[in-house]
Amino acid sequence: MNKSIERRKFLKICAATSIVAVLPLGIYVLDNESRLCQLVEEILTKHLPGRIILQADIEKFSKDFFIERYDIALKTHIFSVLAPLVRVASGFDEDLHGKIDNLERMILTKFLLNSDFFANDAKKKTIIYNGATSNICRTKNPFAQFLTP
Amino acid sequence: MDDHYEMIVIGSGFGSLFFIKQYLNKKPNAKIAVIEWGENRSHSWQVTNNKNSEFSSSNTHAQDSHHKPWNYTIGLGGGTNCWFGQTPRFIPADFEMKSKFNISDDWPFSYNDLEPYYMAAENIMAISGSDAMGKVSPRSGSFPLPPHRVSAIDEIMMAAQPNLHFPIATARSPLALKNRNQCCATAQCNLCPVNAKFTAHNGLTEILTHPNITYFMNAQAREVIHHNGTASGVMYLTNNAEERSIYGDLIVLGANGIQSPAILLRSGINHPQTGVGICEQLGYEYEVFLNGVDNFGGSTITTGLNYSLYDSHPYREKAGAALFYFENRIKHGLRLEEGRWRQVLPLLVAIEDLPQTSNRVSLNSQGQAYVSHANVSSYARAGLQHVHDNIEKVLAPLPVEKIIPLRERPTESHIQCSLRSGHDANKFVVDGDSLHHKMRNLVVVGSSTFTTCPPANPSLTVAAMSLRAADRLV
Ligand SMILES: Cc1cc2nc3c(=O)[nH]c(=O)nc-3n(C[C@H](O)[C@H](O)[C@H](O)COP(=O)(O)OP(=O)(O)OC[C@H]3O[C@@H](n4cnc5c(N)ncnc54)[C@H](O)[C@@H]3O)c2cc1C
Ligand code: SF4
Repeated sequence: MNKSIERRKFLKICAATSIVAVLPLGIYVLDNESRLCQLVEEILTKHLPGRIILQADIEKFSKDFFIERYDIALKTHIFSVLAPLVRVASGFDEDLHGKIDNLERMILTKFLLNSDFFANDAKKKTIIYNGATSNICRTKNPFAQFLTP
Repeated sequence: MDDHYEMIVIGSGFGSLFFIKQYLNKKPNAKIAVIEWGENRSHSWQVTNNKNSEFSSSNTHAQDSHHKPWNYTIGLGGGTNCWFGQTPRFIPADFEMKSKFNISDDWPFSYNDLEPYYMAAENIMAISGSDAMGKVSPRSGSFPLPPHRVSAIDEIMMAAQPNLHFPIATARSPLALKNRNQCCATAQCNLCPVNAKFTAHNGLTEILTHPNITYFMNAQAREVIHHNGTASGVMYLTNNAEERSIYGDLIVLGANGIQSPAILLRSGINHPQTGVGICEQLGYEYEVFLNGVDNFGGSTITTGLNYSLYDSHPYREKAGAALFYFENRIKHGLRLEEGRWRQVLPLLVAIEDLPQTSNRVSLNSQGQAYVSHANVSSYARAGLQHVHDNIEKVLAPLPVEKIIPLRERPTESHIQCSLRSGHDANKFVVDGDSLHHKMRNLVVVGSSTFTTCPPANPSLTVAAMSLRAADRLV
């Protein structure tokens, strides 16, 4: 075996790998917020056809969502820059449950639960975002019905 | 002598506090000391700091990083702080595993022996539930609080399986009480924002502030002091790592299922079964998509319990029993389809495991508790397979669209069977009255003393066993 060739090959692979690894991080730092917001908008538009959501609300929601879920912000960003076909095929990652479906559910759920949507019986065309809930009540349930004394 | 007590209790969780409560009922003037490793952290401190304690479980014991995690609270009140308040009783067959199924061992007492103490513990904690549950866990009286509102899914299941599906039994109050608020289904029960579940801080204040009890906080019990087969005191470490000792006539060991065996091992109270058998239930999550039934309308996070593969489990000789928890929390999200957002059921299943000699608590070279737990038993694995094979049948009353098996849960946060109780002094560490087989003035309380590991949550049974042990001792 020619050791020097092997070594050169190895270095090339390392360089290529680090470019691939650093690239998304760079993009992430540069256009993180708008990228994520665009993805959120795509998801909400796709699943809430015919509803109106103010752009400012989408931006605010996107920001709040990824502040709370900082743990998935970078992954989601990388995810968002992948071509749709690659996204599905990649199986991506356990925390996103391997499927874009689950990321979409997470985002749609969080938005709807923190909006006036269910309070208005899902009937109003315009949906108003209420803002982030406190950290403590992360998964409040607007459908719960309580006993009365 | 100032540092001499009638009773010294190590730890202040479920096992310890319910023992003290019953002891003081019988001997109101007893002078008691409690040695507690953690701090006294109020409900508001816990909510503000978003944690139950400054200790993390992983720093207070050592283990192989590839093995499953164990979860507990070090602090005044122990697990009463972080628990979720699920309180099903065990069922009679759980206490007779050997006689009924030729599996593992019988407990040294029966369900009937424990029943009055189940009632008492439920009353102390103001448990909510439906008396229909008496069909699986017979009752001599009613639950102190009415059941929570169940979901539309539970209603269908209850109508189809009236002997197997019930509203949850829980310490999350469905109504506002003097010392607790109404549960508002926010699903953060380890840090309940509205103080709705029973904790030592809201439900046992008379014990936490009792004039006869001296609490030694930030005091890590290291050893039970003993001579000639009699326990005489406890050596503990202060925050500054200073060694101190106090003395007493009766010692009650109620650290948790990991720390209690470690204390015994450090003390040289040598019973070969000390620490052997540590286990907990195997948890598994499913998500069920439904056609036309909305979920999440109940009044707390888990609204229904299903016993189809528990009480009437025909294969319990071969496979662990399973208890299904019907979740009313939006755990995996709403559905994406317009108008069908709520047609989904998060389902959690807890499967019985068995204590195995290969799983144990020992000490590492620093004298710290070390947990080895490589695997759950093949009995638990068979139980999980039995669930996979039968889940469609169990859910038959529902308009099921698809059942998605999700994942095994890393831990159920229950630590059991590390100081098992039983009649045979060679095989078990403590007897049927919670007394150490080798030291008759040493009581051991808590989930460590469970003989086997049924699928239901442990804490109500821990509380009932402590009430019984104190009642029988005094
Ligand atoms: C997140 C979570 C959710 C849970 N939910 C439920 C539920 O819904 N239902 C249910 O039944 N169970 C639940 N549990 C389990 C429950 O907390 C335990 O079953 C219960 O607390 C066991 O009681 P115990 O007395 O054995 O131990 P603990 O309650 O843990 O008490 C042990 C006490 O000993 C102290 N201690 C430990 N070591 C030392 C030492 N060396 N010196 C001095 N003091 C020491 C601790 O600080 C603590 O006060 C849950 C647990 C967790 C972590
Ligand atoms: S569901 Fe919410 S209100 Fe009820 S006990 Fe849990 S955290 Fe508290």
